[in-house]
Amino acid sequence: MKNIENKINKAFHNIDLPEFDNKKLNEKKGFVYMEKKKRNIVPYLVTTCTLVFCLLIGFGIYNNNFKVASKIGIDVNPSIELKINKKNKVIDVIANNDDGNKILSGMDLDGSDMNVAINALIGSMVKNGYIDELANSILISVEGNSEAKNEKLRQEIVNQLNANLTNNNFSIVSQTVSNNQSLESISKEYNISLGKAQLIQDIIANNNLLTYDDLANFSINELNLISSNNENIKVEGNASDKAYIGFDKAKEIALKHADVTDVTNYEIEMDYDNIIVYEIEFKVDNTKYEYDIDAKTGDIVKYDIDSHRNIDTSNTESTSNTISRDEALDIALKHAKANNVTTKKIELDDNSYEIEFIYNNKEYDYDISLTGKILEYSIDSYYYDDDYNTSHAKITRDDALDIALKHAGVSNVTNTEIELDDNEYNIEFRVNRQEYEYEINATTGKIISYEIDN
Amino acid sequence: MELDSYLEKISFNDHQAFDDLYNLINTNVYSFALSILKNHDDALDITQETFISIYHNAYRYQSQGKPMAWILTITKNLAYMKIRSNKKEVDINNIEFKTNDNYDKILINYLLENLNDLERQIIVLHSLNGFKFHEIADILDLKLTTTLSKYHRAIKKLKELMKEEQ
Repeated sequence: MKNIENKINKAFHNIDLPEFDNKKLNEKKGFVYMEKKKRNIVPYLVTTCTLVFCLLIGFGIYNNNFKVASKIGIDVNPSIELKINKKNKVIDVIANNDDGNKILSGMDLDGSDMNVAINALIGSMVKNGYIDELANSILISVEGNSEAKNEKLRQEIVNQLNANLTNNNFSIVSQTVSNNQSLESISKEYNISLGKAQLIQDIIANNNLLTYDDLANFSINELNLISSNNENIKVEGNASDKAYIGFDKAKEIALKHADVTDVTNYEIEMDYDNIIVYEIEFKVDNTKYEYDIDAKTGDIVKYDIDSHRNIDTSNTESTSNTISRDEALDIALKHAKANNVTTKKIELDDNSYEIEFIYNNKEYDYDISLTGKILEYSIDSYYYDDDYNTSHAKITRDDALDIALKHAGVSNVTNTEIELDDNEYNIEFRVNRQEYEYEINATTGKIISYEIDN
Repeated sequence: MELDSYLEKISFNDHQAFDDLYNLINTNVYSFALSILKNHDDALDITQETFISIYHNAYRYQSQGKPMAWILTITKNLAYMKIRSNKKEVDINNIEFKTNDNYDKILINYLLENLNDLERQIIVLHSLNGFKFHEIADILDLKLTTTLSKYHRAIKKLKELMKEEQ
């Protein structure tokens, strides 16, 4: 199997790629060019001054009163958009989702002042239970043609909200929105407001491992919680994490599992990885610990312990005292306190054994020197599907190797590699200059395919 | 030098580190972009854009020991944005090879023409970057089992195709 992958690797490296064009680095990025709306200029068609005059006055009235000057998005879970004119009076109100419709029903906000309307809407959201002490975040997004005006409006709204909401523990997330095509297509695709799409975009820009699929269904409070430390997002007040176990509890759980009494230097933040988690990182001596803890239940959903190779010991190694493949595996198993493992790989490489196995839904990686020293190891636990994990392997790794060796008619082999994936052993070994590759069914021991390469 | 330390230097505008990183991993980025876009010119564009994004966003990278996953997720996001804006046909003839190796060309053509999108992406991530399957599953938002079975199906397809070729 490695064989074809090596060929793919080689083929791609044979592609001639150009040098990087350093000029491109100086191009301004993240700058969104807003096209001005084209206006109809009438003079050529108009024959009389009076008509021009009337039109200009009419245009002015239209501009001040009926033309949408800005759009204000309010997202909690209900998502509502206010269209306002130059005088900050509401021209139109639209609900972007069903919860928004519930809030709007029976409310007539047309013609009212922007701040009055926002207050009424937020009041109704509190009354209907959309904002409470478990989820206290409100997203305000201001969209319009002038960034300066947007920013001014944003400040005005936030100040007004702060003044009105003093008795309540709210967290107000606010932003100005530059409408652009990619944002609009995301908002349409996920059926979320432009403001929410931009908030998610900012979060993803900070953590590229997240996706729109992950976050589109999040409430604003959840987004607020995981967007900590993001300078693009302006937040007043703290998002409520009362629905979760809290930072201190999460840290306690991780330290207990790692069997470490206290760490001075650690990082903790809320993150999302299929569920909302507390992500904790700390280092003790040469070992790095990483935990993901379910923010609701406190369960450890994932952890990674990484000890780094001690270079001194690997260099002073003598080659006289070499251990066998099985002895290396024993050392790793003893260290992992594991038995009955699904071995995925044992490879002799550069004077050390690389061993990979699965035990208790965790992936263990060891690098063991020929003298039996553990040079490096990592334990990685992750979501592991039970149906896959209950491996149907009936024959052992050694049996599988025997079958392959017998078939090949050889006995003294070097550089063996055995991997168990998807109930198939993939075995590679060399005899002299020939490379053998076998795929063997792990239940029946039947040879599925083999290849001999010179 | 580890990728982490390249990114740290780049975050302080170290141009040398940036050039070195480009030469080190441009093939990895390009191949993953090609596996999504199936078009050489688009893949080159996205490779450039990925590195521009790395240059401007390196300070945002928080070391989690997964710099390559971070970089390739940028590539993925940029590539998907590109797909949304224009769909182009597969065109192997635009790709220039350093040596005139027909086998390489055929192999890459098979990857582009005969594997489906996810199969191709998994194969590229596994064979060029040595990611573990659960890491690939994370990058592509797939279940581990799906990743494994698609991987095996893809490898089988490729083997059979290349056998016919020989």
